Amino acid sequence: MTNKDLAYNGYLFAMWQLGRFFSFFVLLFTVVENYQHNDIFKESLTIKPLSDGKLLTHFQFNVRTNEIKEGKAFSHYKLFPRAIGQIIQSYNAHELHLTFTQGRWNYKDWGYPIVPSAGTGVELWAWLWKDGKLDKNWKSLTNALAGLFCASLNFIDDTITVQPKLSFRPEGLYNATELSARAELRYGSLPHENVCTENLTPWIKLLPCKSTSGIASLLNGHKLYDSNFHSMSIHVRPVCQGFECLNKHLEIVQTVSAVVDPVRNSGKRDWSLNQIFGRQLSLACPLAEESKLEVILSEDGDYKLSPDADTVVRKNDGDATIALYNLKNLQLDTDISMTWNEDVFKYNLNYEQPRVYAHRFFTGYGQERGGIKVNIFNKSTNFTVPIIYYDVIPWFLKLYLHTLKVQINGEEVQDSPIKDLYYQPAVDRSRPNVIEAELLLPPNSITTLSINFDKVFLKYTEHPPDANRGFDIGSAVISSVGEGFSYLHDFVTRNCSEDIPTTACYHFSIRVYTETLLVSLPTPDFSMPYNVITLTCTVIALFFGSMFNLLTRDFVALQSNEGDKDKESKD
Amino acid sequence: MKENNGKIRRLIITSFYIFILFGLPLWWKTTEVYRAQLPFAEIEEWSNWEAFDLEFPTQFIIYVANVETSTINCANLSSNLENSIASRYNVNHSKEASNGKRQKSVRFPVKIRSLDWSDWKNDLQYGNLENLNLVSENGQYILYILPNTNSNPNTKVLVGNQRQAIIEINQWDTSVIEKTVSDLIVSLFMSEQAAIKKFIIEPLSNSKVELDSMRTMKYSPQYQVTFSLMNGDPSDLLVNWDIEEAVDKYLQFFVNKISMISNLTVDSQIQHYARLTFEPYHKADENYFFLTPELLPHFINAAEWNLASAVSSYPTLNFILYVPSKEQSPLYIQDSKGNIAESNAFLIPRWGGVIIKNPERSTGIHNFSLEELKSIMSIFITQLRGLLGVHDVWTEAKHALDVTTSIEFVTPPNTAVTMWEFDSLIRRRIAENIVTSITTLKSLSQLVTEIPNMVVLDHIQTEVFLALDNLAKSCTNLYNNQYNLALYHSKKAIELAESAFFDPTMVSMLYFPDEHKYAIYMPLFVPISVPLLVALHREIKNFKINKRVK
Repeated sequence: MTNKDLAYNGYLFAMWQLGRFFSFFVLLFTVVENYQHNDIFKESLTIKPLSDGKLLTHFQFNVRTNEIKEGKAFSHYKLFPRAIGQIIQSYNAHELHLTFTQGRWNYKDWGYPIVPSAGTGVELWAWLWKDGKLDKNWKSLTNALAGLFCASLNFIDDTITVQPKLSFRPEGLYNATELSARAELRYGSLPHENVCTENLTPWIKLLPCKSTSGIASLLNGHKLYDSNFHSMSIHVRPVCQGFECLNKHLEIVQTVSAVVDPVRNSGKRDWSLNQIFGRQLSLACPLAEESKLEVILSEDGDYKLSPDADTVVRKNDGDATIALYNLKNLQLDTDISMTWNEDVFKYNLNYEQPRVYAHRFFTGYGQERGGIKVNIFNKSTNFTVPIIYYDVIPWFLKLYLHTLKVQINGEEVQDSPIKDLYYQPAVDRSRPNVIEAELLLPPNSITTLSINFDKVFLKYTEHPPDANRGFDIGSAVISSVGEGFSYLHDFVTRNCSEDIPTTACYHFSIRVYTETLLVSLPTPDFSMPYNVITLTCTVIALFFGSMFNLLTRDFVALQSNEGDKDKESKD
Repeated sequence: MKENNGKIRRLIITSFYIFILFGLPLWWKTTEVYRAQLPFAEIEEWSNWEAFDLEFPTQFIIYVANVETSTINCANLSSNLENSIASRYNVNHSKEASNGKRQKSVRFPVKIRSLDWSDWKNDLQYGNLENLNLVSENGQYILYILPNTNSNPNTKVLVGNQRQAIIEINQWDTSVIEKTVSDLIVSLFMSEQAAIKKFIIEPLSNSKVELDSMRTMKYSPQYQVTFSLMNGDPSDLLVNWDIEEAVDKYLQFFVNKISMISNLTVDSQIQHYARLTFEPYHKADENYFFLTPELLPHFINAAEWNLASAVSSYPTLNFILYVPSKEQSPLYIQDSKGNIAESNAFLIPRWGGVIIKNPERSTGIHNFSLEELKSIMSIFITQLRGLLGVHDVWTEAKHALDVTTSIEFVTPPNTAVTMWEFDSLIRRRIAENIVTSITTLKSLSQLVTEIPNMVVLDHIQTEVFLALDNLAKSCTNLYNNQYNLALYHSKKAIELAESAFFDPTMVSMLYFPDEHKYAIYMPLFVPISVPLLVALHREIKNFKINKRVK
């Protein structure tokens, strides 16, 4: 409305001042303004050489709209994908986060990922408004997303769904009191889900320019799935517009991350876009307001970027140098490439490791009982780090809470580092075990959590077709908490948009995912029921046969009359 | 002693056989799948049209102007009209049912009441007949008959927005009035009756495929209407449209009006890089591109254009405004004779409509303003009416009538559907719903009969009973001239019938067929039956030997 008024005023002003000719341009300008006013689309590609010679490529596409508002039916979509908008609106979601990941993020060598979620398989979590049918909405949400992305998300049922109490806080704009009163969190993950092209194709179709132009044209399934790690995600959340946060926008962030290995092919860490993706970058998506390519440069090393970047930025909070290509004004006729002045890549052993990371594994042997052990590393020399440990163990592992032990550097400690513990015991066939613990990690320490469990003997119909493979247990998640722990963030953590003040950004917690685990449960002989039936039948038949014969036949002792006669005749 | 033993043995064997005789049915019963009893006989009755007769009654109130110079007997006029219409209507449409016992029948009875309209000059002077004698019931219409005031020799019909029409007759004579009115009524209702008759008498005949029934969507209580602006190439032209305002202004009334029959939920989207799957023909000398009627079926690129809804399972009606890319513009549709179609639009039966626009691309940006969308929306609404089965009854009647009758319309309100059309649509939909729900129930009963392994749960039974109940209510309401209630019950019936038919539990239990049951019990039955049969055989042999000895 105000925009129209402005346009009109501008028009009058121009008429009065410069006559008809100029007014044409003013009108044109207002049309452009109108066009970009409602939905904003930005795309970016970040490339970061990792310490072990691998290369992280991260695509990010943001669409913002101010037209979709909570409580107001909206159905006229411009750049915001209609499929997602409809899902958000019909199932009353406040936030939605869906990540498909294949491979394991190697925290120790690679640092923290740019994407917030990196647990192997599929992870879905959403904040849903309480409207009396929240659980039905969650069910429908998983089904709708399953249909949209050709994934088995519909298998996220009650036995998998969790309501985390401490982790997975909203990542967008929210009012804490309103949210706790009116919304609930649902979390579900499928660690065994494979991710492939059939999931990527519908994901690409949600982009305004699809894969026809812009950086999305580099998304090549053949190359993308030939990588050490790849992750594809969709995050929908309300965000602020501007510093004063006068307008609430709904933002969808679509990301694809892949870790490719140029050393594997050539022995060198040199790369070019064509070599990584098998395609050329032609021009920016015409709908994008901003389209850029960033290369995060390492401090040392004798390397050369060609062509030269438009600008080289130093970020003062991190110690990174970023080479920036603005694809909006750049007419690319050559391939972007980076070459090091070295014959063979030598592994650098003195790289900076991330401060907090973790490993989780099974202990014990046999098919009856076992245990889970997690080592959480805090490598910072002088910070005590508060974290939240979150673990979901399926109901078929029966945890014993009294066996939960915490050790620091291999020793029991007097004052437990557990500050807060939320534990939900499992109910057979209806809900999983949940452990959420708030921990304080002392500086330069390894904190070890361990707990024991019994394995349940499942009904034979509950086993999957490949029963002997075992059951996957999803990643445990370690989240940083609170404000002011920016030192946990890697400099590329870009959950925050540029127009949001950095201080408002820290409720985006960083999350560290552990390995998924594979547990083998006692597997029955699946032909057993038939064997039992057959055996029982045989026993009954034997019993019947002998009883029947006893009842219907005469048992008469043989009288040896003839033998006696023979004896008599001999005598 | 031995004789006594034999008797006991025979008794024992007989008792075993008696036990098996009673045991087998028990075993059969306990290993059976659960099947709720469905009213097969009743469904059969409905599908053979033994359970009901359909009636679509209409009622006309005719106000005849009281002109001093003439004497028109109203009572005579009514009965004469009823007779003449009845004779032309062929009121009893019937056909031998397949078993020959009974006839399917649909009746369209007409009741006519003529009234003397003494105050006509006065009423006309106020002009506003719309507010006079309003009838709010479907199937009841008012006709006002008055002598022609000017020298125009033609009969003039002025159609009102409500269920009424004014007929000006040039020759004030009973026979002329009779003929005009009966002609008019018959031509107004003939095509509708033909359609209903076809629905009911030959629901499955494919021999005479009607263009009309092919275009109309199958009935659904809700449709998703999606407007898509397809932009061929955003790199040379960015497009936008004021669709929200356009929908509010041009479509909302129609949506509200039609919601009694089906709910329409409207949404819109803009898709970029919407490419065609084929190259349109190029006319080099006039430098334009064109599509021929043969190419139109391939126009929709269903694989790449995001047209499906992620949340709704109701049928979608798609309306596409297509802006071709620079390399393919201007793009026109040519008919088979090579002329460019004026509207540059086409309708895809049971799917939606497409309009191709070639906007000015010098500025690199084009916004389809509200003004520009007006003509586009009017084409879309015409297509939507066709897809939903709205028939322009008066225009159709005009074709049937002779040229001496001129038809004019009171400026219609902005609903895009008049009362006359709406009523006709309701009647058609009732007939269609009744027939479809009967067919669905029939298929359900066939399915259940054919697959003996299928589990039939109690709620299926309940739904079938309720569907039949609603069918009966719908027919009763039709008979009583309560079309709205009849529509409501026919909707209910079709919903219930379909939800029973498409219930997820209605699949045959493939994992436990009868063969498996026998296979599992085989190890029990075979070893038991061997000694039993041997014993029987021996007893029979003994019996025969004894008989011979005696």
